[in-house]
Amino acid sequence: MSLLDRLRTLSQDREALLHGESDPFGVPVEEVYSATEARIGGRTVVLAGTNNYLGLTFDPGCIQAAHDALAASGTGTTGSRMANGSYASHLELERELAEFYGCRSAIVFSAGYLANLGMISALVGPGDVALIDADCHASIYDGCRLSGADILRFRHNDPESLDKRLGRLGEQTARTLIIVEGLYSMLGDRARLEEIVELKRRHGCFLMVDEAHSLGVLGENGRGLAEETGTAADVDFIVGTFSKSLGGVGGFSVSDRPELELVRYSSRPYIFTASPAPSVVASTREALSILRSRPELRERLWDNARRLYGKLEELGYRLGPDVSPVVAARLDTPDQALALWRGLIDEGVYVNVMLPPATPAGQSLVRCSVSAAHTPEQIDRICEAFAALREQASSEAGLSRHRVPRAPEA
Amino acid sequence: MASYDDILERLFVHLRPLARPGVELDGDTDLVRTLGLDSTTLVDIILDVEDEFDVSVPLNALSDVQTAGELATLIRGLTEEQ
Repeated sequence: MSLLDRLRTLSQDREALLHGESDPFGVPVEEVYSATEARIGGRTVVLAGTNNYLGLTFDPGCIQAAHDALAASGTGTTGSRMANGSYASHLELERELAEFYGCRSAIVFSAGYLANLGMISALVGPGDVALIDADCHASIYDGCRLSGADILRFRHNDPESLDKRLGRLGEQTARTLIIVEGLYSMLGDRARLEEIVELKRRHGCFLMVDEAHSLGVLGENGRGLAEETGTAADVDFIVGTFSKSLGGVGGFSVSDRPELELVRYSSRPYIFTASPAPSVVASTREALSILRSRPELRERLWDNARRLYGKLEELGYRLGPDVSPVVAARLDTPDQALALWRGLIDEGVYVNVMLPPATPAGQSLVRCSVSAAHTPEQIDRICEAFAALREQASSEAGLSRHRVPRAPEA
Repeated sequence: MASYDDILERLFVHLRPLARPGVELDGDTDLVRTLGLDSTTLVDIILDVEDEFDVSVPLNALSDVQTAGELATLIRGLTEEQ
């Protein structure tokens, strides 16, 4: 076997999956018109798969802030903060994040992926234990691998499974970091954080919560699940991203623990990456300010989430367990998911298709994410597209295997 | 302390449903080549195996495991450590 055979195998797998039809991964988006509309394949589609929860990517204030920073500070920082220094705006963003969460300090990373890599690899190391929910994001798994710590998993959202594993660790719990997500990105369900915090206390370990999909979405002030559940004081480290509700790119961690500042000196993904560009920092700061001052965006987001979830449930699609801005339809096979995804594109709706092994328990998902920027009419259009495909699928008449999904079970 | 053979037999209970009809399992059965397990399926099985043997199996340790026998040896070693 030669070096590149591994990649060539991927090509065969890809062909077997797609049967020569359009590839749903990395779809060319020809033009983006707004937070909720773009041109794909020469036609205007409703964007319902972008995790743009607050719809701030085209906010005039965010765009102006980015423009101003671009003109004032240039296109990029051309290096890491350890080498090239911290711009005033990096420090301001960290101060504002810390203040927003009511924490002692914050640290900004250049991507959400890097925030998990950077935090986990700095917090645990050889001889320690990272105890993670089985459905955690790839960036959490990769951070654990980078750390060299023992990686243990517990069953998704199962405190009893977590308790068993903590029980087996004995005194090693003092060197154990539990990692969960506020809102899980595949099915939109929430961590059972109150119970997890109780176990964390009882066993004397540490807890990190990734609020990537819950920042701006959950909690009275939009801080996430820890705020919503009143458990923030027991969460040692919160991690999040700028690339969803804040419409930018980058990641962060906040904590009340003074040790967070030391992460800067031990985290390779922080030390050896160019720092975020001034325009990105500026739009993120403006977006954070909007998140804080306009709670009506969150209300609109949830109205849209309830509307979409309710309608798809009524249509008989099998969905995730909780109503949330991530609404995922579960299909039986990858072929069914791909057919539904293609049918939705034909109906003028862009969503995501998620297939094994990236999905929990080998499920095939067609995942929507709603935005505060969706109008009720756009949500109805998404629902109508799902309804049209549901009806066609039920009729099973004159429909090719790859165009139409089998009817989802109610 | 369960013997290697006992552990292997109990592992087969978890692995047999994944084997194609007619495939006989033994200690040399390759988890990937013979059973066709991908890494995701394997780590999901580990959750069941952990509960079966009341032991925690670090994902890191699985990188050295290719056969059912090697998995049995790993579990035996971990139960001894506990």
